[in-house]
Amino acid sequence: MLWMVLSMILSFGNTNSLDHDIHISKCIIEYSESDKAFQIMMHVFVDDLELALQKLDSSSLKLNTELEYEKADSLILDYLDDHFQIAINGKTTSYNYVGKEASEDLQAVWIYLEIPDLKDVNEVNVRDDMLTELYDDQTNIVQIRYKGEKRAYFLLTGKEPSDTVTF
Amino acid sequence: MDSVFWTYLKLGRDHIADLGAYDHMLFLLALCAVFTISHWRQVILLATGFTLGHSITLIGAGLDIIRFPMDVIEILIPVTIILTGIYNLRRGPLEKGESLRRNHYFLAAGFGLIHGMGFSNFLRSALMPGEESELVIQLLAFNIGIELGQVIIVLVILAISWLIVNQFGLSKRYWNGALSILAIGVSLFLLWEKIPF
Repeated sequence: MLWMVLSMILSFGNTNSLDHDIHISKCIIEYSESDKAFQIMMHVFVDDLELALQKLDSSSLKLNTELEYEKADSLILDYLDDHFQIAINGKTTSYNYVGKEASEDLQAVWIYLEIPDLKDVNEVNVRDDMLTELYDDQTNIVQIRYKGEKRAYFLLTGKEPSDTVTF
Repeated sequence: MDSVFWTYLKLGRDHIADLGAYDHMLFLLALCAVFTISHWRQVILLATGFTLGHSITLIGAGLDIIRFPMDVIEILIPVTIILTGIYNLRRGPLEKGESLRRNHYFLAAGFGLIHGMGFSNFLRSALMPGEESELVIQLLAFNIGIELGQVIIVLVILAISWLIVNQFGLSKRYWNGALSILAIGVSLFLLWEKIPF
């Protein structure tokens, strides 16, 4: 009995991460009244992002360093195309890649995107399944800030990768 | 769509009850190994002690009063489980009607401090920049979520112990021994993976 439980737990551990590696990404989608645009900033751990991007291109990426792979930005955009979509008022809307920078502690990347020329946003749907292909417990937290104080949160996972808010 | 409260509550609940990373659950298992359902009062007291401990470090880190190095915590957490398991083996299961032993308070509250450090690093990575004014509600919700997860885990453990001891008639001493050795064994394995050589 004991060995059964023990071997169960150990084999269980082999397929999952044994430790509490933190599998969280954060995404803030903020409406800018002055620019009439959604400004998007996304916080992704750099080691996980590199792992995901290397499935598209096996080059050494060295994100956040001076030796960064020259095609890193276009790779990120390709990856986002597949794993991050926004629909506004029911219509899938494309976003512009603004850039990226290292987080303060260098463990993550901030990715900046923008959706310009917006008016009358009534409904926002986000699909964000980034990194869920790597980790079962990956959770992507999306926060939408619209017109002042309003905040909507989505907790997106591989099983439930999209959610909608109406204003 | 969720509110800020519900979002952080879910994050807390799912963090402690995460089957893929079960170190906190393993600690609760070690903590509960010496009890049966008849000790539910003692278990509530003990769980409150654990909560007190992890709330202190969680709030301290949440308010950015203290920061903890992740690699040290990941070594300390299995150590808390191993020590609890050894204590269980030395002292044996609680007798019927026996009240909590003084060391139990230390195990629960003292080691709660260490597990709280682990929770706080997770919470930190889930906090949104620019929402500092919401910190109290985020901390509270996350803590309540952890509580919920903890209560569920403890109930499951006690239910299984009830089944094995009260229904199948395994002696409490053996059951405590089996759970404690299991917890120690898995923790040694976790430790082995964490030690940097």
